[in-house]
Amino acid sequence: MLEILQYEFMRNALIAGILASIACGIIGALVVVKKMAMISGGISHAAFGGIGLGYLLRFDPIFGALLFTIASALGIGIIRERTRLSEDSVIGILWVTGMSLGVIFISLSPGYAPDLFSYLFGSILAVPISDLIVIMILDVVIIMVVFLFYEKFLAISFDEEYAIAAGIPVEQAYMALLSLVALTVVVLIRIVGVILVIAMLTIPATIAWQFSYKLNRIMFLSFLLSALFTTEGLWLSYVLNLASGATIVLVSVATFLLSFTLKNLTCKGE
Amino acid sequence: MIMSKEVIRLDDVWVKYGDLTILEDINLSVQNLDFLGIIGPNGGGKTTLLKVILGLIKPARGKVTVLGNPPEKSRRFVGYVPQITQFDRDFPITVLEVVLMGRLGRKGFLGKYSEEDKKTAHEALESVEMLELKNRQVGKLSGGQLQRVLLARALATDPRILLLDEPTASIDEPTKTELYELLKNLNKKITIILVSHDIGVISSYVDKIACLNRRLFYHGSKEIEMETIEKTYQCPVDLIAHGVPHRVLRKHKKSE
Repeated sequence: MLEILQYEFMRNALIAGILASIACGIIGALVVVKKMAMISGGISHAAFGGIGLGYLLRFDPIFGALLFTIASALGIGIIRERTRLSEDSVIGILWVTGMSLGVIFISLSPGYAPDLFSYLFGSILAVPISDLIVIMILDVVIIMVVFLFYEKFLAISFDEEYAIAAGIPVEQAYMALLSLVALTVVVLIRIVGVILVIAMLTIPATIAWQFSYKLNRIMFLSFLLSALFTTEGLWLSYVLNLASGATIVLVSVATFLLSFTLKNLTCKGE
Repeated sequence: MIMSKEVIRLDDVWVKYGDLTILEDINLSVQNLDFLGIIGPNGGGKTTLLKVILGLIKPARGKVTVLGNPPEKSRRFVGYVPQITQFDRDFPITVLEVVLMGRLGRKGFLGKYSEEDKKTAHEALESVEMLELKNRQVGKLSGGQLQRVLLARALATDPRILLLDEPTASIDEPTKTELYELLKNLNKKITIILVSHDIGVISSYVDKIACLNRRLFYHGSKEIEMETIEKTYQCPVDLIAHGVPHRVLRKHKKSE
């Protein structure tokens, strides 16, 4: 297995996977306990609009993705606080708007969009050093903000109504949390692509939740799991010559099924 | 220090959800250190009334004053004990973490707990006799234990007013009595409003009673007339005995 590390792109891919797992583990845990999987799905698909805009206006599509994820995160937050629209429907609308805008922008762009597939399904094997630095900076931001707001995030996830009644600035905390989800989505687009982001945010944390009832431990455990899955998936995709993003996701799903089955068997045995 | 005796005042408060009127023309004045029980049928607007006092629901009409200010301004001084039915039993949080939430409202931008916060949370848990279970996951608690933890969380805010929503809904009779004894004791320093659909035990502990079924029928003392309860429940009721406990029985129910 070690011989594949002689290639620079493999080393970069491995580092990218582990760095992305930091964001993925911490924010994934919050996404799962606050039941924000669909919101995250909406935000990641909205990113595709930004990627298309990048192609059209000839700037790095990842910045387009960042713009669209942050805008849609704040948009969902504002609509949720200020209107009586169903959050579920708003997410659905956002989801398809982003995808459609992306398709239109790309079809308007002159020429061929060479690495379009890599944004949809990930391209961990083609991560340049500059992206590693961006991911690292986003990790630092995420760690700092979550450290500072950990208690508030826990409170609004457990019992939002009480949090309001107790005078906690719930709206700001929720907006901050959504923005962190947006940043994490951008990080994960590099690894598994727009369409599979939701898998990385939910699967490691869901497995971790089965083994702990402390949020910070769930965060750490889902970081470890996520790092394991990306490494494992990367290696398998290399050996079997499969698409890396999808392989990482399937490794995660397989582990989830295994852990779920084992957990339920042992519970019954008690 | 001159302190106003009145801690909560509602004038002509109406709450509507779409076309549906939930609360109609509510007028209420709660004095310092009152122990007010609000009874009424399910769906009568009891929870809504508490949420209006907390500023969680804006009335369509009327004025709400808590400790001389609009309710949102007074949240720090109000301890809220919500119904226990609404929690995700698997949520990863311990008893102590839940109680510490009560301290979060008085923090500023950052949410880090100080030693004092931890001490207050421990004292609150001690006062409801739940300190031993402080590291347990809340989902593993019984109904009565969870109720105590939520009460401890409200107490950790150091409240002047305590609002309790159906605190006896899912606990057995002996635990109910313990809980009421505890509240009675707290009432020496804290104004308490308790809502319940169960008029059983409530009347022997509270010192004022109001009946709520969209409209509020308020009583200065706890001697309620038959007519009021029937108006509230909109069905004939029997009030057995003059002392305690009272029981409500629907006459139109097929019975032995």
